Amino acid sequence: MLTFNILIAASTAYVALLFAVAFWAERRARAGRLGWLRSPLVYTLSISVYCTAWTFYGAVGSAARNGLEFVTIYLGPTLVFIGWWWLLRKLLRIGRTQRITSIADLISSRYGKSATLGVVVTLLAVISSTPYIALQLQSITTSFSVFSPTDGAGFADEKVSAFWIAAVLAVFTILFGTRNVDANERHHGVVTAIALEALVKLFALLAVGIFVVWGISDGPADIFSRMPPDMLQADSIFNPRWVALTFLSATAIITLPRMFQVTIVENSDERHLSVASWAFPLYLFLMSLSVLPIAIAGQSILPAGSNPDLFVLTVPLAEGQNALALFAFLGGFSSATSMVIVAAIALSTMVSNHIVMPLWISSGKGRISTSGDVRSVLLRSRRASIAGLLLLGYFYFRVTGGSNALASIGLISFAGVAQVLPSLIGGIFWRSATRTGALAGLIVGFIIWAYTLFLPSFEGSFLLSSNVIDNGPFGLTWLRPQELLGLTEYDPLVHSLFWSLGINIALFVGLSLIVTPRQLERIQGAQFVDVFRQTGGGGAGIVIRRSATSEDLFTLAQRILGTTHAHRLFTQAAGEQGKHAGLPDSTDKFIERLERELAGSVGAASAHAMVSQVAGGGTVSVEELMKIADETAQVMEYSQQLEVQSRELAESAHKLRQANAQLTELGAQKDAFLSQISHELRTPMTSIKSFAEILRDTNDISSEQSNRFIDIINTESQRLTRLLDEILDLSFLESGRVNWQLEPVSLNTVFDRALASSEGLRASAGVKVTRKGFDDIMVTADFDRLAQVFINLISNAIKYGRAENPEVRITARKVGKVAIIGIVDNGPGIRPEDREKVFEKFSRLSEITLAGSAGLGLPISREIMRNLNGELTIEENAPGAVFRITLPLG
Amino acid sequence: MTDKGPPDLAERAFRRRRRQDAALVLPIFGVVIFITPIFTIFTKDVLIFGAPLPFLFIFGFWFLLILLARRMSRILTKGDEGH
Repeated sequence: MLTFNILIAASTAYVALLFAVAFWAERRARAGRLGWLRSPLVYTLSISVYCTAWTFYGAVGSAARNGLEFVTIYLGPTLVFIGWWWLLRKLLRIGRTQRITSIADLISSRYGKSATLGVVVTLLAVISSTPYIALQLQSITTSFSVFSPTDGAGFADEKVSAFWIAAVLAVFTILFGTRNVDANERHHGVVTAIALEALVKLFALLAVGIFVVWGISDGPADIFSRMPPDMLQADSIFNPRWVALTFLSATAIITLPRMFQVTIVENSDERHLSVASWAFPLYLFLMSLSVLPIAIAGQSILPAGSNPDLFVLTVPLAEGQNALALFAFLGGFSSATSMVIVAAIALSTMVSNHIVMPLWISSGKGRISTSGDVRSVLLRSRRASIAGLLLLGYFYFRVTGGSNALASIGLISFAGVAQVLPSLIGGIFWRSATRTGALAGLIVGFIIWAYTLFLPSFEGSFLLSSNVIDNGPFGLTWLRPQELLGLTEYDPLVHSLFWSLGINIALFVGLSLIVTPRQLERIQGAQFVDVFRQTGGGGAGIVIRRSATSEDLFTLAQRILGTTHAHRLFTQAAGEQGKHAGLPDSTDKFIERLERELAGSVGAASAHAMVSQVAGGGTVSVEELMKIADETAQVMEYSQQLEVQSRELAESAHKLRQANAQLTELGAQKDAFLSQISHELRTPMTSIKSFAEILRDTNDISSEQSNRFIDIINTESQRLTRLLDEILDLSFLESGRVNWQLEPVSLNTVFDRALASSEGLRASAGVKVTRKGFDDIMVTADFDRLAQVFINLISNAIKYGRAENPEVRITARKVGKVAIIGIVDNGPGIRPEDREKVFEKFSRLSEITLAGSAGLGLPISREIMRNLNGELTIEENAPGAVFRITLPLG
Repeated sequence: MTDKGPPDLAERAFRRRRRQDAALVLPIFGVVIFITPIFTIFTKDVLIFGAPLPFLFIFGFWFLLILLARRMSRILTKGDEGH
């Protein structure tokens, strides 16, 4: 016979075992030998803290009452976990990069490290979790009472037993849950104990299931044949409530503070999540497998009217399986205790970080100069919160008297924390989500939840009287809590969920679109939404003017992180800054890192407030950003100016190079000119000299011969004189010191003069000169100089236009305001490559064209033409040489 | 190079993206099965091998999802390491 004393002894031994396991794990972790303690398996088992006493006892009760509906509570989390890649993985990465300590911290940190949001989410979580903690206490005391009435040796009062259970749980949680102030440091002891409890509850439920299927009946077919005909309620199972419950449980696995604690905060390796993505659904699957058979067995074996919430215990007891019943009892005990422990840790972190810490900072005691040890404040507040939360749960249990069905309390709690969902999902996928939207959505959603679901659950004993619940406040029926605006078709849960979440989402989205977010919100929003695009640290890298000294920061860090940790952090940072000793510089990067480190202990909002207090003005003001932008613009402008200048410099350098090349070329030309000129002068000089020598040295020279020699000397000296005249003339022209007498001259007259001058030459060469179109063309020119040009050109044409019947044609016509004169011979012409060279002084053209010439005639002519505002060019389109003169009309 | 080895980087990136899209399809598949009217097709009050069809349907698909999730998780993690 299973006596009550045995039960007490067994549960005490079990609790002692948990203490021992937690202690052992903590010691191993401290020694650095974590091994399998940090494995995907332990991680998955710790997530199973989702399965509370509500699952263990309540699922069977739910199956007995509502058929397959209990499955929804496990299908929701299954869907979330198999979709881990899209949501949980992102949450996990954000949790790690931002050192998130709780769901309240996540929301607060995302929306600009808002302290207000932290408080709101914390209150929401505490209010909706308290009934849940009470539920666990109730389930333990009820399960005790299952064993006690038979011999009357049980607890004198259920309420006393609940108190002692709460006290023991508080001690365990304080001992193993508040060892470290850094919430990001894993609670290895707690997690290991919870993993053990997860195994106990799984095997206990499976054991009862197996006993029911193969012990009581003959296998699955037999047990299903005992099923009452309409138990599954299969035909009506798919309805709004089914969808709502699945959705609600999927939400709960993300937003419940304890689930966030084990899934995100306690996670040590992202790869563990990939295993848990299928292993946790498998755990839920196995837990659910036994539920239906146990419910069927309970209904068929036990007398009608038995509490179906206790079938897990009463079925083995009725069959005389005391050991199995004890095992089942321990399973239920495990489910309840693990939930309470983790929930207490998660909630106490939130309370201490988001309520106690901000109060402490603003009360003035947080002044770094006068404060005591922040660590001890944190730890004390956390311990006090744990005790307070369990006490709150205990009072709730006493007030409600444990009257409600287990399942409904659980669902009310789920619906409460589900209000966080819009801000959470919006916060990590939508950059434009703002603090105002989140705050309004949360508060209003929470109020509607309280009004339509939470308060009515007291059935008139708390705040809302039963009259108000039935008829609405002040008799306003359209405000009836469970039938808002006359929406009567749905059950209270779906009704409440629809209104609270609907208005929550509407406010969240609407206000986010209207209100402009603050700078810090935008920065945080970008860091959360684009968490996978950031590499290393994820710093926003915004320059903020700080006035913090490293000493102040060290004092702050020391008080929160402890001397050892702070020392290690600062030494490391100094090393990274290249300092071998002393404190690191308080650079923005370092301050940001320190803030994140502190956030791991006190939450983002508090850490931000503290660091800002020390560092002075942590937020980036718009003015500051404008200034930064301004400076950037100036720098850009300056660099543009530099660019322009350097381009100009490059241009002038290029021009200089060109000028240099021209000068070099000119120098070479001058050298060539000099050597040419000496050559040209030398030729007549040589013949003059040699004939003069012959005349002097030869005595017997005939007079006829001497006359010829003297004639040659005369001709050559004339040629020499002409050459020198030409050189002088050219340099005179080029120097620009000529007085030009520009007047209207008749082309005919100029040509008559030119032809007269060249008559001797023409006659000797037998050249025929024709003239065409000269009637009455008057041009503006200097008569003598123009005649000189014509003489030059005509003599050139006569000299070089060597043909069988040499002919020079001269044409003139008016085109617009200019006269164009062409001088064409029928000789061999000038080769294209020589065409510009003929205008160069003494250029060496091919022998046929300009052999023996001093070659100054054409350069002089061109110079004259330019000074007469005309032009002298060579045309290409003729067999002979074609020179063209352009002159303004007179 | 084995015949399974991805030929180039673009192809590899494409396959990785496709794997990640498949990771989204799995929960959607679960949602379609369990919380759309498709669910009602299988929840008729019929016995198959002595067990009610809704029970077999829910637990059968549930287990199938778990198997697929396990496969998917391995594929995704492997792709991650290869990256």
